Amino acid sequence: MQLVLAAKYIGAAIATIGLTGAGIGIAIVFAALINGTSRNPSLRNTLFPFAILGFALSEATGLFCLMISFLLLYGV
Amino acid sequence: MTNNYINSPLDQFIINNLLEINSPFLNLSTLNFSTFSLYTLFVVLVISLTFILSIGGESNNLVKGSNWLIAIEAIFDTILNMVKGQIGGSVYGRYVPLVYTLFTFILVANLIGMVPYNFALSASLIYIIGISVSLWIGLTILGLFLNKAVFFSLFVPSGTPLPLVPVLVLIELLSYTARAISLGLRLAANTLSGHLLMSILGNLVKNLMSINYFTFIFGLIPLAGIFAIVILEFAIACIQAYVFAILTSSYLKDSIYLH
Amino acid sequence: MPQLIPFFFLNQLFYGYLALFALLVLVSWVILPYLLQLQIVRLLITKL
Repeated sequence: MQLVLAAKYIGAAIATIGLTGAGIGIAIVFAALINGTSRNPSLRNTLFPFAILGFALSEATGLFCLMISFLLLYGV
Repeated sequence: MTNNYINSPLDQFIINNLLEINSPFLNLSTLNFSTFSLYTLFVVLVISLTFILSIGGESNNLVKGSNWLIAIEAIFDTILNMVKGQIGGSVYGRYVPLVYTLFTFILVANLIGMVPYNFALSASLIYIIGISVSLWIGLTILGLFLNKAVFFSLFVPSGTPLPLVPVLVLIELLSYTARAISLGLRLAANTLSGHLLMSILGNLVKNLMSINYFTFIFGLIPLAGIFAIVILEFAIACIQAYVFAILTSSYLKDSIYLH
Repeated sequence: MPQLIPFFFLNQLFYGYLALFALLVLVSWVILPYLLQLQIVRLLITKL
């Protein structure tokens, strides 16, 4: 029983590794926004909604990992 | 001061029956008035009361409108521009009410859920994934109705070499089917993990601050971080409603125009 | 996961779809026609 509990906690901790991908994705989105804005500042209002959309989509993939970890901790 | 009972962060999603309907012949537990039903009622009431307040009041002239009308008109302009930009053409107008309804419903439900001690409506996976699956079924039926058998050309990207077609059809079919789940799961997982995160961090800081006077002062520093996370969650509550609406209109464009 | 108790599945779906349908009717029959009328009146006053 203790072994199962330990495995549960280890699994929940390992599940958060996927958040690195989400972090890299968010960084790429905002780096591209800064690049685009510094090359052509007049496009800022056009690019910003796309950046927010990309931020939300790539953040959601990281939150799937976080949700799996929460499920393992509290749901099972 | 410590609490002796177990505080699970998932306690905030518990659904209670507020009004039960019993019958000796039938199982009517579907019609029970639960916490979930109360909050759906809240959402409908908030949206209709905002509209009633906006057309009522002392400045009831049709042209200028009251200050409450600014909120409704801002949301309407956002949705109209979004649907026009995504779908375009001459038929976009008939899909505005659906996208407007989904956006306002999810926005108000998320913002009500952000009020402390309230129930987050969009964290219930079954309901949100139910909405997205039924939207997906409706979009498929709409595409088949508008384009007849040409609808299946959606699964073959243009300019594919012939030997690659069977593989690509399988991949496109998979990605088309995964939309049904991923659209709803994105919103539900965001809300669920956001609320769990806030609850866990809040409990941790409460335990830290209730040890002695020094940790009470010291605990104000992580508390500021939690306030920043709460602000981020408010932003995510709005952004996720926007993302749900923009993805719905993008999928609508796919099934109307096929690429 | 308290929201994954099967007893409440049909309850959630019933009230959720009911609220969404009521909201769709409210939006498409009351709110959006009002906003359309408002914009037509503004267009009449400013442009014509």
